[in-house]
Amino acid sequence: MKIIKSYLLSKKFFVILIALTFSTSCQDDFLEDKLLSDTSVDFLYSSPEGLESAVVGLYALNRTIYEDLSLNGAFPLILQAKSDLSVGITGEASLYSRLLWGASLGDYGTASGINAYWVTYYRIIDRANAIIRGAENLTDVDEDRRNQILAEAKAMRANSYFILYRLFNNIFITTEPTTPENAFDVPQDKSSEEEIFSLLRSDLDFAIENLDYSPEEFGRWSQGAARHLRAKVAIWQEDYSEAAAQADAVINSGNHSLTTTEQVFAGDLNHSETLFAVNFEFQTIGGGGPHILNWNMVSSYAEAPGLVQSVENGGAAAGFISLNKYVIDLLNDDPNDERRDGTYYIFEYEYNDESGLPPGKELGEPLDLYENSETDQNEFMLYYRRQNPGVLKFFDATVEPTDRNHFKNIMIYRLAETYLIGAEAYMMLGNNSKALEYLNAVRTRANTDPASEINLQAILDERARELAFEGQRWYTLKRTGKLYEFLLDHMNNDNMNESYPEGNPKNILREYMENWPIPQQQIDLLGPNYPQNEGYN
Amino acid sequence: MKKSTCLLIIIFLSGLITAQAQSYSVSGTVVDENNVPLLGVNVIVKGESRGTTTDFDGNYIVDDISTGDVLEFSYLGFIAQEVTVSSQQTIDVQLITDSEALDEVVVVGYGTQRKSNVVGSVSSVEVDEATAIPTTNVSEMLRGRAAGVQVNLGSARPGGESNIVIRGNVSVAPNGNSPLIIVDGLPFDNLNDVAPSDIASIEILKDAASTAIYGSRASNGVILVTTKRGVEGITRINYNAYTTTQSVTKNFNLYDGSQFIDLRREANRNRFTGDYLRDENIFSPFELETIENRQFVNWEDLVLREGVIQSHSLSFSSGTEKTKIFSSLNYFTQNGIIPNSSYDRGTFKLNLEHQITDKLTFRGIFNYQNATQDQETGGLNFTTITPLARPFDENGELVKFYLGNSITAVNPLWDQRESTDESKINLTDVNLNLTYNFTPFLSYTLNTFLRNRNTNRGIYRSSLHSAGDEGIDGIGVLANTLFKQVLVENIVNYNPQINDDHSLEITGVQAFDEQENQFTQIDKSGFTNDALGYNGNATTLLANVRNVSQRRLLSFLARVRYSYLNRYLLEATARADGASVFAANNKWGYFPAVSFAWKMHEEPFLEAVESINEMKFRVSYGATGNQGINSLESLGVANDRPYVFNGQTVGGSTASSRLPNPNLKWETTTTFNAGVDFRLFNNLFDGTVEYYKANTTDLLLDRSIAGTTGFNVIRFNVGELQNEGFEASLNSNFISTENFRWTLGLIFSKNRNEIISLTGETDDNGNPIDITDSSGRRLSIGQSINNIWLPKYDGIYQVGDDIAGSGNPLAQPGDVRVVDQDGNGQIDDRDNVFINTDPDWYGSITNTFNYKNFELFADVYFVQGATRLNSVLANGELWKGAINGIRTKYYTPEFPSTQYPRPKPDTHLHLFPFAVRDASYIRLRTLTLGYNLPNNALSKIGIDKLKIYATGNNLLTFTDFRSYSPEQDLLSNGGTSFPETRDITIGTNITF
Repeated sequence: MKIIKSYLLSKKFFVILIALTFSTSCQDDFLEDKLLSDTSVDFLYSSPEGLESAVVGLYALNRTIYEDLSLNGAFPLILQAKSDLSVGITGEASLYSRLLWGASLGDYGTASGINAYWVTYYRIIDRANAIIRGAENLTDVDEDRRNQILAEAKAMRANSYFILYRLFNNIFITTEPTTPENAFDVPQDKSSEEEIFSLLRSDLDFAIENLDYSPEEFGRWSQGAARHLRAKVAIWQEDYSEAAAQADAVINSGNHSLTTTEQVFAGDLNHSETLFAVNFEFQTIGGGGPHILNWNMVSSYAEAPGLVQSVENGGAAAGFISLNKYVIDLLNDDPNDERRDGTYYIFEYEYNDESGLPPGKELGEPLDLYENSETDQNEFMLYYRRQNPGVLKFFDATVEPTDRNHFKNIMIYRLAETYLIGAEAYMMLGNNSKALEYLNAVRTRANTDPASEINLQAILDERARELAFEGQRWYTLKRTGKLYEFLLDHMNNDNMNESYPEGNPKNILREYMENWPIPQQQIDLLGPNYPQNEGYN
Repeated sequence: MKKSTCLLIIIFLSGLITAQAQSYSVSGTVVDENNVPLLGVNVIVKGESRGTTTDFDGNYIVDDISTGDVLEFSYLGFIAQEVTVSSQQTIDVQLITDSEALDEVVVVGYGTQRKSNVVGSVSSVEVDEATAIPTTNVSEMLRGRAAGVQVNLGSARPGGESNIVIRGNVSVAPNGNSPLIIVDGLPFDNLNDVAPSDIASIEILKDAASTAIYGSRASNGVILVTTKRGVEGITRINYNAYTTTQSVTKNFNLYDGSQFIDLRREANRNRFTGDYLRDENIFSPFELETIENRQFVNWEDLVLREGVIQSHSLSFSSGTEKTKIFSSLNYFTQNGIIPNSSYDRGTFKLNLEHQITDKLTFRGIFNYQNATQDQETGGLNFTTITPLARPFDENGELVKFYLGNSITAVNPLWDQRESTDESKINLTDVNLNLTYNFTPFLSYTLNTFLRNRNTNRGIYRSSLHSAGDEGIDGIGVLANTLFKQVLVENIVNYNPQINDDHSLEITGVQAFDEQENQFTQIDKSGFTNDALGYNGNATTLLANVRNVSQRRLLSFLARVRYSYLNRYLLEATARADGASVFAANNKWGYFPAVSFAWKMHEEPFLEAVESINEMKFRVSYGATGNQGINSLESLGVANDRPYVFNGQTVGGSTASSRLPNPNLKWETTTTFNAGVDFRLFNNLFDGTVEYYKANTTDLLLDRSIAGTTGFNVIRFNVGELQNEGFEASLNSNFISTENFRWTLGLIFSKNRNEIISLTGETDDNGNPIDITDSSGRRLSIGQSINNIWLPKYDGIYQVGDDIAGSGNPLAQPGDVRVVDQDGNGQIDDRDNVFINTDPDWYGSITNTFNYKNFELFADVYFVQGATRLNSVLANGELWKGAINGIRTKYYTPEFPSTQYPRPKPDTHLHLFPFAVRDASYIRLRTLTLGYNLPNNALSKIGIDKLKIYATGNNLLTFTDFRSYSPEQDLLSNGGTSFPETRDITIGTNITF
């Protein structure tokens, strides 16, 4: 032991001891977990620059559903598939139209696609809440700058809550940003309709007050878009005078006007009719995408002899869901309707491949080999796959016709719908002449004869022709109480309905399906008594 | 690399062929007490760095001996003998067993120990048996080699990796179940960075007593690898080479062309009328053409080729009293069974030890590694591509649109041709270690380590590739990862000589460890031409990613070992760790452990009992930790979310969907271990039996949170997980005669994983709630964390079943039936049940037979009671006849199957429950036949030892799981998994 004692006192040992203590003295710093290549959330929501980039982040989040390619890009098409204007032919999107998916708690379509809506829009809302709270707390910032941030975030929040409310009915709303401390204070009950609508109104009124009609950058919320959304909220609440006033304001603002039918969905949509669009850009950072909406909704015409994929025929296409007989007939009501001529919709696919041309056919003639037989599955399957009319509203004419990946901007809200909201609101207020004026503005633009009588059916018919597959139809029918009836009458087409292996979806359809099921995995995470929508158990 | 290896061999060989001095040779035989010849006895000329080893018959020859030289005969487990050469040319020696042992020295944390003194649970791996597998994947070599060690195949591709789980999953954290890898005392982030032929020993530390010294990283056990060192007095050159051919092994068939056509027709048959649709409706015009011409494709044949491995290892070792050197060069090259997949690796190693003064010793390790891994383009679905295709035209040239011009799908072989994906890895390790012995009892060691791994990955998809065509003009991805690790340790050892009855050893360590990852990725497109691949000039920047992460660990630890009368052993360790990845006020964790052992055979009352050679009881109890989470989880991080306005990129951000937890702290595993080590009946049997129970608390649980919060997940500390198990290993030298020996080894492991508690929250009925973690795994009290949570498969609906009253009233005969647990006429989450995927038990039986110079080694591996989801059977497209896959006798109205569903044009419901399959198996993993050339023949040409061998791996597998291997699912990452193979190797091992 003596030896040790002497060494304890020796210089060498002392040096080691110093080394030991030195290397630990700055341990707090040494063990700090540092953000070396990431932005901190604190910066993001507490500085004007951070908040502005967080607002841009909201637009990017708002694009995620459209660029989601899972399940063959079915998610952005669920609303279309569930409407009364579509026929599900094949693929995942058609499973939603056939009610095999998205119509019960147990099915995969609910756990995936329906859940995506719940999660995505609540995420936008929380980030908007954080921005709004952050902007309100900013000191020493230009008031206009603050209000611009607030207005865009509030418009985005209102839009998201309105979507969630209309889809899921039993929703919970909050303006409190989520923190680690409050994340487990789970909602115990749904919010009342009054709470929801008062928030929607105040958010949108603020946005209207603070947004310009022509924002500096196309794709941002504008006053026109906010007023349009405000009109939709108002008409949902049957506040027809407010709806009419908002529609009038947009229409008469001098900043928006209807374009020609060819222009509506041409190019990047940056024109006077567009109120709100989601932006994409090919091969650009932040350009998002691609989306494959067009591929889902144009028939697989190239499988027919004598046709190859071409821009004229609608590019790469698989034809999973498309226009059903009901809306095709509506569009055929007027022989001069321009919307069928490869502008909104494509009704004819032309022979363009000389080598495969069937006998007796000429290049440029429309494909007419198949017939939509009422009973012969062999016939009508080929018709639906290859020849059924398609939707061109999401078609990117700039990519190769063999490429299903499209980067075209997606139209969300446009002035034609404002006119039709105005028409409906004035009709309900008893002002039929003003209603007809607005309705006919849309009709004459499409080169159809002006209507002379107005009623709800006429408005719904015109909305079908004009707005089919833009994602509004399902909401409109729900709002007017027509959803169940119209689906029973028109969903898919009867010959398809009879051929589905699980039987006719009309037998599955129930009135309660006007609310989507809150996915079970989300219910599990909410308070024990959080109410599921009626009918789903 | 190949060239340089050859060159070195020539240099070494020429060095050996030198003129011999005038003297004579001495030969003889070495036997044990029973006159059984001993193989591998070291015969060294004392004072000179040369010598030899005995062959199978115990024979040796040493050349160049002069009278008066002293020959030293040494062999593990025997008392060494020295014989002075007078003039005799034959010296036969009988070695006497050293009762002290069979007592090998084993490596433990921060030191070594005689095996008989080990108090914790430590398994040594038979390195020769382990390295009989032709791979660079060292993890795979440990499969079946030690009790309690489970190996799960990660990727079977050349250069692939596997996951090791020691005594079950103790953690729910993403990186929470990998054992700590310590190579020569240094923490390695990848076990496969060690060249197999450099390994001298592998020890697995399993209980808290042996691992607590590694504290916060040790809760999954520790794998200690020691590489070869120079030995005093022996100079050796060893050359080991083998070549392997690999071929696919499987237990299922694909549909051939006509069977596939039938499947598609059946799938599109009208369910109500039974009518078939016309072919025109269900096949494209192109498919109709191939059907007419009967030109079908067998993609498996077309894609897969024979894989080839070549490996060369050359090592040199030498040692004097003061300096010891080991150095090696290894070269490994493998062309995988999928084209464009390969792996080439060259490694260099230098282990150096030099005693600078009496008190100061220097040790250094230098490793350098250069590897290239090539990968095929992603999503190569050779098991699922339709056979109705035309990949080649009339001239045998690849066709781009192989399903006809109207379908834009691109020929996967075309994409293969148009893509490159190569990773170049450069690894440099430097370890400098200085030990100063103040006295014989007190020493201080400074241990430093620096590791740099640079991984450069380049991917190019040409302008003809399906990802680079259509106006993109080629896509290139450049990814660079720089991994940097620095370790500094100060170690003090105090080992006072008290008296014969008491022995004491104290170790104290202070350490810090820093690991930094710098990742840069650039995606670009618009290449002017394809000639330069990803090195070319591009016009468009598609993405640029930069990620820097760092983790630091600061530690203090101490260990005390005490033994009384060499019978009662006590060991105590304590470690304090501070880790940067945890929240600001929860950085530090403390990990104590104690263990006790009783060497019963040392007791006087047992000394006379001859049948018990060793009997040791051990118990231990202690805590270890887990820091297997990523950095920044306690901090709020924003994700980049750029957008585009007017065609211009605008920077955007949003809080990531992971909610930070500012209170995140350690996961702690407390382990109780009890075991018996025994050696019986004059060393006929030896073995170990062990029981353990490990409870992990404060689980680093990733928990899904309500979508209404706008976040997905948060990690927090809650709950408890238990692993309880039993392990046994037994070795026996059944037969040990002059010409024939049979050694048998048995290893058995059983582990039960169970969640004890979770958040403590309850549902409306007062039952504890289940938690879904971020990987979708369902955690439930009483269940294993490795489970499948799905409805229970209940056969196939048959005609006459009560379908309307079942859980799926819309079903048709031929659909998959599952149990409607709550009987509400609907199948949803509430009908799900838990199916444990862990094996009930696993183990191995190894047999070594020696007959004269022949050696036969056979290793059979068992996994029983494991469950796995077969994702091909679960794929709805298969049952639509849209893709190919595992062929089954599916249901048809004419021949109703009770096992397989009816093909249908839509995705079947409940295919996942149907595809949950038993993945138990028994596999002949290794079969090796070796032949040692007799010494007398070799010594004439200057060779000490020469062995030639042939090895077969995965020769036989018995399993019901349909795949290329019961260890893997057929599909992964959107393509077919890289199949595990059957390997045939021939090789040679030469020592000079």
